[in-house]
Amino acid sequence: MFTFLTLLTCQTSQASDLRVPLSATGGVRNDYDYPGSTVSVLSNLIKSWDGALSKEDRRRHTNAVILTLESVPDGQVMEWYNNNEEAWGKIKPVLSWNVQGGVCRKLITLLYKQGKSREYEEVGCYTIDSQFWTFARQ
Amino acid sequence: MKHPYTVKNYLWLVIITMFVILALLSGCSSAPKQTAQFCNTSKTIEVKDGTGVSSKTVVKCSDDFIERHVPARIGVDQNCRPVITQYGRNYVCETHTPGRYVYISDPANLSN
Repeated sequence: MFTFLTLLTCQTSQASDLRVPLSATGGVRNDYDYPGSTVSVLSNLIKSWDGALSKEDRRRHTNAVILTLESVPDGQVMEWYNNNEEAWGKIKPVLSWNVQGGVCRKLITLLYKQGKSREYEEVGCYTIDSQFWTFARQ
Repeated sequence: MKHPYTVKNYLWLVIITMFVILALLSGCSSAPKQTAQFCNTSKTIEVKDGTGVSSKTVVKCSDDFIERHVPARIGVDQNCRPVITQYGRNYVCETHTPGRYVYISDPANLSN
């Protein structure tokens, strides 16, 4: 039953949506333990909740990432801030290349929330077939 | 002879109870978010010829969305352009550092 609950908690629709950057759902903590025991699984769940961005910040970050992909040249930086929750994000495209019928761009993202931060590397691609940006972690 | 009621028998019950208590506590502890305008207060105290003291409190409130959402140290220009996203109208502002932009979203669009 506990395993079922854990899987249910971890499997969110947003995490499986390729149109949402993984940095938006991954949160700011990366100090997870190896899930070899019940205690470590519980501890990881608590860390996951603690480090998760709020719903508003996930939307804010997703919007900022998509705007960055569409309009910010490589090497420049897009930032967002949430003074109320002491959170911010910085998004920097570092590489762009053409793919068949579209473009892919590599991003380095830094997220911060209440004293904790985490860096992500991910790739967003836009193709004629997909009609929207899809994301994959490096 | 083993005692039938050991702590081990109740381990799952204890874990699930902790899980429920934790969920309840985290739900109850979420404070309402501040969405009203931002105000700064400054107080000036004047001594008049040693005979009296007067004080003046100035409350300065701002509706400026840049002042409300971006820390002052970031140095954002007033040069902001509106952008339409799937969550409505938002803004991208230039900063004083070339090649650095700030995305500002309207809270009304985020809470929908």
